[in-house]
Amino acid sequence: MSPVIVGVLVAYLAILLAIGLWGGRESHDVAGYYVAGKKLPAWVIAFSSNATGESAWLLLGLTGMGYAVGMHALWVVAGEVLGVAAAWVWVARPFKAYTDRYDSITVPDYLEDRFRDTTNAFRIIGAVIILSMVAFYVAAQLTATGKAFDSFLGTGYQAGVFIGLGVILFYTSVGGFKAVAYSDLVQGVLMFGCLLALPFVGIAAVGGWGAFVDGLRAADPDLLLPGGGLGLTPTGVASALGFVGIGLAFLGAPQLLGRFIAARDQRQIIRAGPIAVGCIIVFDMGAIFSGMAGRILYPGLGDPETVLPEMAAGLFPAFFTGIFLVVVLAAIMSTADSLLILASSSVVRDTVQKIFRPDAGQRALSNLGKLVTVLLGVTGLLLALTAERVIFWFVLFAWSGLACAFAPVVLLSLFWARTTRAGAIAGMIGGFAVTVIWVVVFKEGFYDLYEMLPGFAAGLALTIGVSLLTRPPDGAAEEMAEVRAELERLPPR
Amino acid sequence: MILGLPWQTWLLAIAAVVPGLALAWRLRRLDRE
Repeated sequence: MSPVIVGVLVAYLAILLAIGLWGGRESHDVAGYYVAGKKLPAWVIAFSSNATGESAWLLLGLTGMGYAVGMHALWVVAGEVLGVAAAWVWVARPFKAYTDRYDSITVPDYLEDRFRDTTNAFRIIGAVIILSMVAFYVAAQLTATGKAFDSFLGTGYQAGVFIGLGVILFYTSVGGFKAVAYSDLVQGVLMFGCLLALPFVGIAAVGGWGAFVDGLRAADPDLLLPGGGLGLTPTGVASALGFVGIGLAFLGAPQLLGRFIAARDQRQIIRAGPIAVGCIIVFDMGAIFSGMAGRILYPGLGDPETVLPEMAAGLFPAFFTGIFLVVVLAAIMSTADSLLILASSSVVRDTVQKIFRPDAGQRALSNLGKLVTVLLGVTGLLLALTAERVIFWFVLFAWSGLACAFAPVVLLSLFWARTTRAGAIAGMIGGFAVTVIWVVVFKEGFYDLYEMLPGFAAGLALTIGVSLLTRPPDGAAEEMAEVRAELERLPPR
Repeated sequence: MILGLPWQTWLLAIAAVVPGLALAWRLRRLDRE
């Protein structure tokens, strides 16, 4: 265990703890704890959104994909870059305008007001979906934490999981969303720096661009083709479409929509969009090209998802190896903290405050939020310690489950005034259910097509179909016209 | 082949980033108005 690597790690963890204490000053009421009082500036929401969307899957999974399939992985970049750009250009602004108008803190808050719901249906359905997906999503991140600690420092899997979770729970429960968002900024900048540098270092280590291309061709000529070894076969097309489909979640996964709600104003969203697009390009291209360079430098790895730790240890001095450990942890923590606070908001804001105890005090609710955050983290810990450990596929599944339940409904609610309450409920349940059913029943027989595509399509189709058969909320069309008009007026610079 | 890569791969790489950058540029322009 190198003292330099441990030193870098301790410095990073100390920064997170300090951010937690700093954010704690504003976490004493519900809006403060869950949306940082809606005061976040552009840089924070841009990096926080990308760092939340991209987890350990980016650094370990996507680099492994570059290693395994080469240029075919560029389809992931296409989907994610377009998804992020479309979200900031088309979704963020009207969603922010609506949620400011309703004073919403959570996505179910928004859906309830948008569809004039008085039955708590959106809160209950939202809570069930969020809690079930977040539990496994967080467990997968904790699994990656244990693996990262073990592979970089040799601490053993369990000790790594405990250390990682302990730090996340401290700053998330003490500092609330403000600490989560600002720590995401630090974590996102670290990820950006490493994924900008690593492909250049990797390609230079191979011997430059010409040697890089020749090396890939020698390893497998299919690595240079957009279709990989699959070409225009049904499996190849399904694989490419599935890769593109990963980006659909950026249009409306609830953990990302929370960043739009928490923005200070519309001007911050306009400024954040280009930052987020530039950042996601570097994240994805960096991961894929690093993985491809790793294929030449470290051929024959038993598990392609260990290529980044291999490169970090083999190409850099100990200080930078420490930085890479920190970056893997940053990717994990920036996702896990946001999921925990999302699930906590679902329990405390959507269920306890809005359904059972509307008269509860703000401080009592924010304290309950902190307690629930810790309990959810411990649930993830138990799953991470007992469940099967190779669960990166579950990250993509949970990513899809959350997105298919919320994104189609949110998109239609923002752009189609005719969307109804019944349509939205059908879309949420249907989008989520199809994701699950697809994985369990159909996926294997349909060329392994990623569940995001049928789930998203079902969410859209059910919302539209049921809406056409039912009556839209009173005043929805006029309200949408007002929101559109409001978007024409930007706050001063 | 361009720089050793088939043109289809370059096309995919360009298609992966250019539409996103074009949309981001719209926001930049809006911020300057």
